[in-house]
Amino acid sequence: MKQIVRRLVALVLTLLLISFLIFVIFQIIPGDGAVSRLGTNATPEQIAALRKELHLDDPFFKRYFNWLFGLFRGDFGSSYKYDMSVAELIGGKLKVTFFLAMESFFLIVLISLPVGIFLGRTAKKPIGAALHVATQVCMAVPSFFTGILIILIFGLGLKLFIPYYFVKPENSFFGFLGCMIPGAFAIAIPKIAMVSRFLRTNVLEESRKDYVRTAYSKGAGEKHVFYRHILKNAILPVVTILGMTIAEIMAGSIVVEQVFGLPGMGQLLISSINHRDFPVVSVIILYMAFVVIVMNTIVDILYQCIDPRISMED
Amino acid sequence: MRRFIRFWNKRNKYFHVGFILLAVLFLCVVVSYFWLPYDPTAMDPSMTGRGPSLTHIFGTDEYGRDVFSRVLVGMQDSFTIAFGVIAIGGLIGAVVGSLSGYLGGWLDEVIMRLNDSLISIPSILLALVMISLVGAGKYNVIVALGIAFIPSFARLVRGEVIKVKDAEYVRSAKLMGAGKLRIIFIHIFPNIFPTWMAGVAVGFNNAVLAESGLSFLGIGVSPPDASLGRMLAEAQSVMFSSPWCVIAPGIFLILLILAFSFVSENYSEKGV
Repeated sequence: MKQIVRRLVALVLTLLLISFLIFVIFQIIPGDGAVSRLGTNATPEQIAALRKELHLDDPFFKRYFNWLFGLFRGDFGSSYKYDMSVAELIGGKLKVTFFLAMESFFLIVLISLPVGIFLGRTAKKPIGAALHVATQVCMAVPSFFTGILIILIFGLGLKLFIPYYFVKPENSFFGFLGCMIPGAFAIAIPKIAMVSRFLRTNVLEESRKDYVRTAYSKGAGEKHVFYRHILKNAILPVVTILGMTIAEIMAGSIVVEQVFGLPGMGQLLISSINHRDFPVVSVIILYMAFVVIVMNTIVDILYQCIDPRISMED
Repeated sequence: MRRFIRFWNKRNKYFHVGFILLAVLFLCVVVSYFWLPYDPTAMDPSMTGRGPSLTHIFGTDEYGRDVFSRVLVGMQDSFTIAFGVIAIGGLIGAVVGSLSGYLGGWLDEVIMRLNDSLISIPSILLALVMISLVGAGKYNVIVALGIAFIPSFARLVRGEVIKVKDAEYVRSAKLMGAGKLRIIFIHIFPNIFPTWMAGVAVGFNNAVLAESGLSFLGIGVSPPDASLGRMLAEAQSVMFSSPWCVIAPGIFLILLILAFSFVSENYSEKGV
């Protein structure tokens, strides 16, 4: 319990630290928001009025806390580029990125566990060794090139889907989910390779341990030993790796949305960076960092709960 | 040479494959500085969008430029950027990590808290933050990714420093009156060098990946520089009519990343 409380306190501190860094980077360093919004032709009176409206003349920490509490209230500021609030701008995009990330996470879990088990069981056979090398090749392919290959092979060659076709979730929710599957695969493939390799290593390590020999000498069959003894221990650390992939899914979705033309947060992030639209950039980056950090904490706590060997007291 | 043979024999077959691949690619890059099959920027209106042939082994792009020459030039940028990133991230990370690990106390606590929060954010996101401030371009990418790579190196080196900081040789150096900085950089660092090198091999792999990702998004290197990632982004618009324009840089990118990952595999299998 104490451990969990300590993790939660660390989580809050980390989030505050990140929000502070992002505030300094995007609100202070870029200079005067009023000037960048009005352009160089603005009169000094106009700039002064807008500075007042945006509270740019307030003291530093007052601005930080106003900004922070604004975030809690759902007031994310307004975009420099578009005459819209950041919340409006992000609203619809959030769904795309969220479901894209969820789909790829499901693909990772669904595919990597059986593949990892298979790799572990066949580690000594040629097929296992060949697959092991294949997973390394998969890990070396950047997700945007996987995406391009998927479009070329499965979209253009085999005509399994229509490239750059996007269905709005309001029109057909399943169509919306369906048109993101190729993108989800592009994000998932390198991670599937990574997780299944990790599981394979764990299986091999566990099968060298004493309890496995004990189980065999008690007369247990190979299948029984594998699924009841080895796998149970080998699969636990995979939870941590799966948690870590969330960060990389986030990073991957930024790139893959660009490849498949999906109108998600990644696309908005890149176009906002190109337009130097700092309020939008800061909110998206803050959001992504929050998701990653919160998920990591949840995975940590979850891991402690499911693995009885890790004491909760020390 | 004999030392190299001994070094070679101690490594496994992954390392051999990776090393040879890397050597070939590196040789290509070195040669490309002196000689290229065609001028990578010369446009030939009579040869636009041709497929691979004997004269242009990877074909030509939509402006009639030779894809192979462009790939070679792109590799130069990918190599130099990865090198710069590791030089910044690896060196500063090593200094921060060893100071933090050796000195300990509140300094260590503060640095590691900061490090932990930065390490949980993907390095491409950190680099995006910096690039959105300073703008795109080759040198900005090097600095941004270099800074983004500091935390992982700092963590690696700190762990190793803590492991050896109470070793006999460190204590005897202390008894002889060596200063803290001397102990860290003259006595400890040579001993953790192999681990650091393993980190560098993994780091090169990640640096090439991250740079190509940034350049693909159009916020990495900017024209006239063209890394492999940028070439892929530019060629994406013609991928249906001339797919070789995306496949050639893609394959070289994969080979480059694969070479580094095979080299680092040797270390990771030993559990370093």
